[in-house]
Amino acid sequence: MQNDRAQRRLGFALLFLVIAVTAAAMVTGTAGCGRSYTCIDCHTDRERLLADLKADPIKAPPKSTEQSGEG
Amino acid sequence: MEAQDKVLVAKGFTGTSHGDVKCTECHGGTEPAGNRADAHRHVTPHPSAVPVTAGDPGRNVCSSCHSGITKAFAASLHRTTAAVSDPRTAVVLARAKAEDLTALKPALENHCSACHITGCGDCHISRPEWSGGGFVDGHNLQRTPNSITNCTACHGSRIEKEMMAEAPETVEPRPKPDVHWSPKGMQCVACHKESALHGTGATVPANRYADPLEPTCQGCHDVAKDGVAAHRQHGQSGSSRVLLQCQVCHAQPYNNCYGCHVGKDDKGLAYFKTDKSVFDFKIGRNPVKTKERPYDYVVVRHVPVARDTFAYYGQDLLKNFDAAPTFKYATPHSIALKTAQNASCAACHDNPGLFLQEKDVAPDERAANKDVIVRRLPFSMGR
Repeated sequence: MQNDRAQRRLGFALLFLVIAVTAAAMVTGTAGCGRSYTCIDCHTDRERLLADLKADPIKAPPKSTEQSGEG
Repeated sequence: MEAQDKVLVAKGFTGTSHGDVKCTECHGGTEPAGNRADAHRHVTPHPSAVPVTAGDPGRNVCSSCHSGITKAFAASLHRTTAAVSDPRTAVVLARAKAEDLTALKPALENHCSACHITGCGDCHISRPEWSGGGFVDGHNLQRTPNSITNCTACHGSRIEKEMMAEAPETVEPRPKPDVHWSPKGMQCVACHKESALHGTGATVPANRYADPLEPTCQGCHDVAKDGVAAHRQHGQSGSSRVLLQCQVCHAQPYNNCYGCHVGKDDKGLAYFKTDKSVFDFKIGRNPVKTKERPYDYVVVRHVPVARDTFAYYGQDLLKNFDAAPTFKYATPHSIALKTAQNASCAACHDNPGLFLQEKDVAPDERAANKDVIVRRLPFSMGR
């Protein structure tokens, strides 16, 4: 009987620990849905930047096609 | 430059004094993050262009260590381009009447302020936005701006073309590069010192020629003691009655622009058009004689203004067009020791084509250039 209770307590404690760790990870931005990156991780990796910009290109600011001559 | 290379940080950057600072401290955003959108939320790509305190451009992210420079630079001509684009002080406004200043304000904002230096990063980290941006050296801080990637990125159509001898192929004889650039290999900052580029904060000159910190030839070349006959004849330290600006003898042809017209296209995008650019060389009377620039004759450059430059914004907005010349005092970057006009005394004295005469000026610009046009040519050496 006492063993059952102790096992249940241990189970709850483990569950609580898992929830706490997950919550902490979510708050600090390192939660499980894929890896998290620092700025330097990406901005020093040309291939990663290239792939990312290929998938989601940045639009160049629009320029008038009327412009001509030297400024 | 490809987009990924514009923002590629050099691996060694994090070991530098500026790389020690966390990226988010200057740029904002979030790290670590799982995707680009989260990482870049509230990111400031050019933090040195954004005042820390609203309305105080003298305080930006660089101020915590370089406050003296950021404060002085905030008011400098290099940052504000006030002589070109400020709706209170732009040089072009001398040609306008007070009643038209309100109509001209958006024109100056839309077209004349596009090449502003936005912040410290435009010279010390990246290429200026005006020329497409992108790190010069993987975000490593450049102590001095690079002549090609930074200075001529903005000062291209005149300074770069003259300094690097990029005149159109039709120009004969072919100009040589400015001697300071090649073979001397001097960078822009060799003459244009930090104090002039940053400003000192003491006073803000009305234009670059009114800035006492701007370089002068005499700052390096002591022509008073060099024994050159032409310097005695026409130099400031000589006995001459006719003073010449150094460039009159030592400049090669330089770029002149004509007929700038500004407007917005059907998508609302601002544009400018210039009618033509011409490499030419003309000596005119000095329209802006000062104690520092007492020359009787100087080289003059046609600036692109026209009577109807701002026609898109209203009719006849430059009613005082004739109040300033269209051929302006110039300091071309096309310097050579030997030029066509200094080959001999006669090469200049007997060459009327070198001088800006009435026939060289469009009829509707002659009144504006009345103080510049040379009416009495120098005496002939063959007399």
